[in-house]
Amino acid sequence: MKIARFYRKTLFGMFAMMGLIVASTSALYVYTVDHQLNEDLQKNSRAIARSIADSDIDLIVNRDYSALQSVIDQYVEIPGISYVFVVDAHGDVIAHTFVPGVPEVIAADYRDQRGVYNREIPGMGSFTEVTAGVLAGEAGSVHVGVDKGYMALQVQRAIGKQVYLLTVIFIASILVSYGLIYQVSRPLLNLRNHAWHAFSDGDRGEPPPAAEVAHLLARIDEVGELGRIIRSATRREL
Amino acid sequence: MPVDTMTDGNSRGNPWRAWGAVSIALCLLLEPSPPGYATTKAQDKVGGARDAGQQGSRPSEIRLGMSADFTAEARALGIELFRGAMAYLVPTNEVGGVDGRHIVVKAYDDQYDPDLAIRNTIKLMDQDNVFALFGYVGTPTMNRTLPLLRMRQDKNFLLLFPFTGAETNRIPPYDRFSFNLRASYDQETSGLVEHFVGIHRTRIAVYYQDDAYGRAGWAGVRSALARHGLDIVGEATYRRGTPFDQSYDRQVAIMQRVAPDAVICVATYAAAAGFVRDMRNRGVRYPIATISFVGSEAMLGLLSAAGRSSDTDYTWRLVSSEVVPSYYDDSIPVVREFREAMDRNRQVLMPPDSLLYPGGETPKREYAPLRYSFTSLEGYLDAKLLVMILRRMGHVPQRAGLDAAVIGLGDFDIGTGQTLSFGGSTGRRQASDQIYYTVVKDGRFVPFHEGEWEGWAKP
Repeated sequence: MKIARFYRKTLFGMFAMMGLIVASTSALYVYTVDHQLNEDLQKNSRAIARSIADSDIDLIVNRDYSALQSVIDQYVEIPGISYVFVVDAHGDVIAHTFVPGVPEVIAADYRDQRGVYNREIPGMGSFTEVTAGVLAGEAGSVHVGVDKGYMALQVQRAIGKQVYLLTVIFIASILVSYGLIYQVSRPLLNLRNHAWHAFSDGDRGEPPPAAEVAHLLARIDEVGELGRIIRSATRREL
Repeated sequence: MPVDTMTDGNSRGNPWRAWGAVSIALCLLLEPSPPGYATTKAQDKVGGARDAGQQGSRPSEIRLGMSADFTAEARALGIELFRGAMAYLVPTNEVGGVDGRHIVVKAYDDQYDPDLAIRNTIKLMDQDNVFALFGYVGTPTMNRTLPLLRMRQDKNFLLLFPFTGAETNRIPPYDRFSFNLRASYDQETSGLVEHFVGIHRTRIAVYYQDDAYGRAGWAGVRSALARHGLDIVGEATYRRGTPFDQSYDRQVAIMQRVAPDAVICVATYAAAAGFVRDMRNRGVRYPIATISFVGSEAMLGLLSAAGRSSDTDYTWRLVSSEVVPSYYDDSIPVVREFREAMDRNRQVLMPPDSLLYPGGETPKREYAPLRYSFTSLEGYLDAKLLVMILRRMGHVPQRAGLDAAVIGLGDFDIGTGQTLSFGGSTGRRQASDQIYYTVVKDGRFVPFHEGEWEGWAKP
C-alpha cells in the first residue's frame, strides 16, 4: 500500500507522538507503581512490627516465647514479608523465622536500632527492614523484613501487563492510522496519475482505470474539484 | 534390630469380640472426611445430640474431640496417641463405659497445621458438641486453638492432656482452659541441660523446629543454661514438615562451626532422624538429645533403616527424654497393663482408613503401627486418667463440672508408681513432673540410668 509523500510526514509525526505517549505513560506508570507498592509494603511491614510490639507486649515481657513464635509465624505468611525477629531488652533474639538460622549479617548488627533500612543478606537477597520498639524500646524491638526481590517482581508484573497493553494499542494505532491515511491519500495518487496521463505523452505506464477516474471526478471535495479542473485544462489544451 | 511393629496380623482372641456394639458406634463416629472436615454421616449422627444441657454427653455416650496429624509428616504421633487411648477406652466401653455411657473419640486430621486445627476445633465445639477436647497433638496447633477456648469460656470447654509440653497452656491466660498429664518441655530440657552440664558438656547447641514447638524447647534450654550462667552456643532451625530424606547439611554446617559439646533437638521424628543421620555422616561425634514429642520409635525406625543401608550406627550417643516410663519396664504396673491392652486389642486400635488415607491407601502411604511406643503409652495414661475423672462426675456429667472434678482428684496414682497430683494449694493443672531418659540398645529404647551419664562425660 503506497502512501502519498504528502502524508508521510504526518504519519511519522503521528507515530512519534504515539510512541512518546506510550513511553511517557509507561515511565510514569513504572514510577507510580514502584513507589506505591514499595510504600504500601513498607507501611504494612511497619504496621506488622508495630502490631507485634504493641499487642504482644505480655508475651515478650512474660517470656512466653512459644506463643510469641506462633504470632510471628502468622506474619511471614503474608506475601512480601520474608522474616520477622524479636529482640528482648537484653538484645537477645528471642523469636525469629529464619531457617537454618539467624544470618550472620543480622546477628552482627541487629542491636543497632534504626527505623527503616536496607539489608543485603548473602544467600537470601535484598530487604527493607522495619523496626518497632517494644515499650519505646525498653523491652526490646520487633524487626520485619520485606523482600525487595518480591517487590521488584510485583512491580515488573504490574508494569509488564501495562507495557504489553500499551504496545498492543500502539501497534493497533499504527495499523489503523496507516489504513486511514492510505484511504485519504489514494484519491490523490489517482489524481496525480490522471494528470500525468492527461498532460504527458503517455510514457507513464498504465493510466488509472476509467471507473476510478469517473469516481474521482464525481467527488464533491477538493480532490474532485482539482480533478475536474485538470480535465477542463486538458480539453482546452486539446 | 528394627523397632517392633504390628505387621504380622496375628491376634490373640477374636477381634470382633473387642468391637462389640460400642465399637461400632466408635467406628462410625471416627469416620472423617478430607483433612479437617467431618463426614455427613458423622454430622448426622451427632446432629440429634446438640442439646446444650447434654453438653457432649448423651444417655449412651460421652463424646470427646481430638485434632491431630493423621496424614502428614508427624502422623505417627497422632496415630500412636490415638491407638494408646483406644487401648484403654475399648475395654472400658466393653464393660459398660462410665456409668453406662460409652466414651467416644471424634477425631479430625489437622496435618499438624494450626489453621486446620482451628477449623477442627470449631467443628468439634459447634457441630459435634463434644464434652471436652482431648489428646490434641502439637504446640503450634494447640497454641492457636487456646484462644477459641477462651472466647467460648461460657461453654466451659476444656482441653485435656494435649500431647505437648509447651508453656502456653501452663501459664496465664490460658492455663485455666487446660489440664496436662505430662511434664513440660521446660522440665525436659532443663533435665537434659542439668545432665549435660553435670558431665562437663557446657557448650550446648539447639536444633529446633522453626515454630512454636521449637521455640518452646529453645526457651527451656536457654532458661536452664542461664541458671548456670551459660548461653546457647549455637542454633539451627528447620521448617515444620521437612521430610527425612531431605539434606540437613546446612544445619549440620552451623553445628560444626560452633562445635558444641552436645546438641538438644526440639524436633519431630523425620527431621530429627535426618539431622542425626547427616551429623553422623559428617563425622560429628558429640551426644545428641531429643525430647518426648520427637516420636522416639518413629525416629528409631528411620535411623535403623538408614543405618542398615549404610552400615552405620546412627543411634550412637543418642539420648531421648520421655515423660512416661519405658514400656519395657515390667516393674511398673501400668506398663504391664498397657502392653497387655495393646496386644489384646491391637486389631481395633487403628483410626479408620478414611481418616488415615483420605485419598485412598497406597503402599507408599501405608502406616505400619508400632507394637508399643512412648506416645501410645502416653495416650493410654491420658485415657486412663480421663476415665478416672469421668467416674467422679456422677451420672450426668456436665462440662461445667469438669474443672472441679479434675482439681478435686488431688493426689493419685495411675499405676506408674509415682504420686501424681492436680489441685492442691497451688492449684496444679499438670499432674506429672517426671522425666525419664532412654537410649537405644539392641534396636530398642532402654532406660538410661543416672550413673550412665558419666560415661558420656567430656574428655
